[in-house]
Amino acid sequence: MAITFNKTENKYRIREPLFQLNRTKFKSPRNSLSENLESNLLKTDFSRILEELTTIDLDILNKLNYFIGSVNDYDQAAKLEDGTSYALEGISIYIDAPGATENLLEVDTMNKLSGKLARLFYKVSLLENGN
Amino acid sequence: MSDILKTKKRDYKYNGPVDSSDYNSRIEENYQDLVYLYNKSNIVDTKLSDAFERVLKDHAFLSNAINDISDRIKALESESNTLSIHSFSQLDYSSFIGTSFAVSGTELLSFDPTYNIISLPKVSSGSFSKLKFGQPGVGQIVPDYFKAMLSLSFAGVDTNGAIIDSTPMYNAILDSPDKVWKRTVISPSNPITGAQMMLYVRVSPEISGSSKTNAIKLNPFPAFGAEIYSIEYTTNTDPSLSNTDTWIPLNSRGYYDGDVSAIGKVPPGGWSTAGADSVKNSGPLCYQFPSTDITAIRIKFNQKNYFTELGNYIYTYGLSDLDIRYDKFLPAGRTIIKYTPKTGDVIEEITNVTPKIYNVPLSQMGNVFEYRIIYDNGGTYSLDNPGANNHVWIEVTLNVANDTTAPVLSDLIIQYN
Repeated sequence: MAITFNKTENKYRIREPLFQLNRTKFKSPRNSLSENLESNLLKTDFSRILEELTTIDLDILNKLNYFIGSVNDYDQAAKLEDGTSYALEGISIYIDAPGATENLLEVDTMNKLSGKLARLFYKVSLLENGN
Repeated sequence: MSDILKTKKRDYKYNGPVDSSDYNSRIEENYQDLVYLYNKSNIVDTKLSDAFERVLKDHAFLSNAINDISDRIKALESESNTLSIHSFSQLDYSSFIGTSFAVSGTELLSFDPTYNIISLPKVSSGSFSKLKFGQPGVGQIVPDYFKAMLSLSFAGVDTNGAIIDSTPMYNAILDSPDKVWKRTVISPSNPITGAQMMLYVRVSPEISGSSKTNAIKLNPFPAFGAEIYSIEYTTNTDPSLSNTDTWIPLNSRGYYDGDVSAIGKVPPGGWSTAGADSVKNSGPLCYQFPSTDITAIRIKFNQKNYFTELGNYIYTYGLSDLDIRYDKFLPAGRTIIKYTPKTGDVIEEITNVTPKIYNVPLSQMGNVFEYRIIYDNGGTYSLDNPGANNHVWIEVTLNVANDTTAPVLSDLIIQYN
């Protein structure tokens, strides 16, 4: 699925349950075959919904990972510069500036951003104090 | 959600003829609910993608803004012919492979971009956390003998009986993006003291068989939104995790007392004026100190920032990461840092090189820090200055201090003509 935009077909995708509306009139002895089928389809539908929710749950964690990162997950992070950035495969970014070029989109984790901010605060403090 | 679902509770007792109309309405209700749940999961999926897209784009440009500010500060420094470390991409040892300045993998100084530190080469096989351990296939484990306590005996809103919304303290120990230790105090008032608490954490020798400790890392939560007032330790056997233990400031030698640029670089709580070294709106902190038999630490938190909602004052503080470690370092190491003046400038000569190391005293600086200036002399790296350099490199050598402290290089500032 695209990351920097939403595909229209994803927004309007509606999936039909397998469970069917089998209207019945009880005029004869009850048919266990149809009741078993109903029960099985219902179970399959519940499994599919559970699977969908589990996928969403994992997706949330994966996406959170891009921003929050983890102190010890250097092996998973792209080692583009400092080891705490995530490279998004196939996505580039262009930021308008003289001589700018398109670069691979690299997401800084909160830890890396915090590190950069701490460094900036320190340098401002040095400048303020004439060091 | 229960109001939206159509399926109703039934209480059948088949003692007579069965009514098929009720059976039909039941399966219709089931079907409608399934359609609803399928669509709901799709909507949630789409909402997540929308939210991710928005945050990702804002995040990318905010990151760019931070880089932009960094460039501007660099330009301001250049105005006074000063250069410093702005990015760890300046670590340029790879350009020297095959030359007489080459740095081997074992002697290469370690660096940590989160805590902005360059230190001695770390021996990972002899380095370990005192709070957790990892198990292949299982992940990180906080042992059941992990013990932490909170003291709420301070003035302010965080007292016994206050309305609290919190998560478990061991969330701060586990490195997982969805785990953070936060303590939210919901208060009807906002006294000047804000919220205050003391966190006590026992350092269990069971994990490593030793109490030797030489590093503490902590990331306050919210990032840059809480104050770390002091960090202290005790060596008492079987500490009670209370005021009755003997507590020693981590900066017991009072390093850099009164030097405001050292705030946050030295552990707070060790200066002669109480609170003068407190780290307000603290970012990530890492302290390396001499190997010490520590049985517990305590960290004093203050929170004076708050939100207001529904007539209440909401104070939140905690930790997103905490680690107490023993890190094994080699006694010496080297790295090479590249300095490039602003466009149009050249470096005729380096007039001064100032290391910023705050965990050893100035008297030992000559023992722990050495440097050489490397020039590009017509395509050959050399110690001889050809003049008018577009870049220079500083080869840094760090040595372990007399008291076993691994020096932490926070910055290296050069001045040039």
